[in-house]
Amino acid sequence: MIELTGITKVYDENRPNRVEAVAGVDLTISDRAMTVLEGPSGSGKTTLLTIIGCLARPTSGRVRLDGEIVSGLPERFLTEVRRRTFGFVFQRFNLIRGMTALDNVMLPAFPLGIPHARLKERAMELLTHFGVAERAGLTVEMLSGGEAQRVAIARALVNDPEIVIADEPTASLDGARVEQFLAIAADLKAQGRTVIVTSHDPRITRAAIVDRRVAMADGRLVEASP
Amino acid sequence: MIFHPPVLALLGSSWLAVVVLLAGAVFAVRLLRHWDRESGSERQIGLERATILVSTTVALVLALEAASLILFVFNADRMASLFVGAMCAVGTLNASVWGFPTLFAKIAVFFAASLWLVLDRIDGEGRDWPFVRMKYAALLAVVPILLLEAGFETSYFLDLKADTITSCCGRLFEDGAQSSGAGGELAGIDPSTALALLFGATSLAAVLGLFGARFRVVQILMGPASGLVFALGLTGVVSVVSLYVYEQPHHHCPFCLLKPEYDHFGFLLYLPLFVGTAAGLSAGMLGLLPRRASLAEALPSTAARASRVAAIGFALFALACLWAIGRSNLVLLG
Repeated sequence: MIELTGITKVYDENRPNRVEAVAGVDLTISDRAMTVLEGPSGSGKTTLLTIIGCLARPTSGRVRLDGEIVSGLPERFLTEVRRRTFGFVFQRFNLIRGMTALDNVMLPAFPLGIPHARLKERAMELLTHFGVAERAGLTVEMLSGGEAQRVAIARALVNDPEIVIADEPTASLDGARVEQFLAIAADLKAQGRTVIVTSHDPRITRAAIVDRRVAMADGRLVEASP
Repeated sequence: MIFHPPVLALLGSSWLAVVVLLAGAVFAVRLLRHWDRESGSERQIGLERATILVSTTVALVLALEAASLILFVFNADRMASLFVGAMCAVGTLNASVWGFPTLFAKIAVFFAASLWLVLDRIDGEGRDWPFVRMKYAALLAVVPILLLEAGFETSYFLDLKADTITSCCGRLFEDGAQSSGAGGELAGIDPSTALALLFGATSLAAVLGLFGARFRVVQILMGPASGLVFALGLTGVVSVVSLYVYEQPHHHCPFCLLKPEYDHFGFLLYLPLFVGTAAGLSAGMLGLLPRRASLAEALPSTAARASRVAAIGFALFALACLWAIGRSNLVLLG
């Protein structure tokens, strides 16, 4: 379970362009459920998501993961938590250009010291599962938007994370790809993973598989469905 | 003052350490007053972020200060040629009333810094900042020692004049009827007693550290045992080992051992002794620390490793002493 208490994030503190991106958010996210953070652009969804995923530290407030304060961990332990607990799918997928799809998927697992052959096998399994195995040897520039999305999801899962975080995963995709993403999200949920997604796309936010919707505006929670 | 590069480096490092530690002390007071792990306040998060920077910086300057002991002694030996009457580091240290107090303060800083560095290391092994309060309280205790050392060192170097007539080591470490002071008393100790104490204490500490490193009681015992080995080791060096190195029955100086004429043999003796003592004191400190769930594995294993390092240090020191005795042409006993 993820518990956020009094989360505030301020950028450029003590400067004229100070921005309070998230203000006093209290939120509990249940395990093995799909939660969607919705809201207009600039509402603080992505900032909150990066704080939940331990990619950023809050200016104030605490993030607890299964009771442990993770937002206050020393950096090397935070990296460990991030690496073992979370899988990230970024809005622009952030695949590394010049590298093959397979290498991109294997990359997050390199620091874990898994033998190369086993890691390659695991990455190929994931690429096969998401229907892009035949694209494994291609550099990511040669992938279509939908393929890049599936490679990014495969990369997020290579460390077998409990929690998958996706930031506007369908922002640049057509309807068919959105359906495909929802099918993958349902699959992840069925595997017992927690899925947290930000989106302002009604095809995602109103989807039947979503267990909880959290609406944000101006950095605050304005509505949270049970 | 004599403007030698090592003098400037030593003064620079001491005052850099003072500045960093004073800033660290201000932070330590803030942390001791306000640290609350459960709180998500901006101040607590600020403290958590800053503690990494502060402890890294403090650790760097303390490591530098600990290492500066070697440069200080080496430089004192090198500068002996500048003073009339000086033959080795003793003459340089005797050229000012602040010389020996500076050396003793630097030795104190060496051990204090070593202990703080080990505490910092073990604190960094825990996910929940297990000894952060203790670490910064300890830092407040290190600051006065460092201030004293910087003060002594500055007074010493400012007081050094090239026209000073000083006395050589023969006067300070003289045995027989004319001996006086601590140096004379150490030199006057019966060689066989000194040897028995030296090898007895080092052997006991080495065996304890190597074979009992896993046991907490042994780790705790390594603290006082190391202090004892350090004292008896230095006594043994002055009283008898030095005689074998110089192959002269009345030359007891523990500093001439550092000179090139004796192949810098002193460094071979003192480095393992100092490292072993610092590790042994650290093992004692780690053994006394309260157990924390987040350090269930790291604390006992680090304490055991420190005990083993101490044991190895003392064993190497004893072997160096044995080697000096074995290769010497001096027949002192029997």
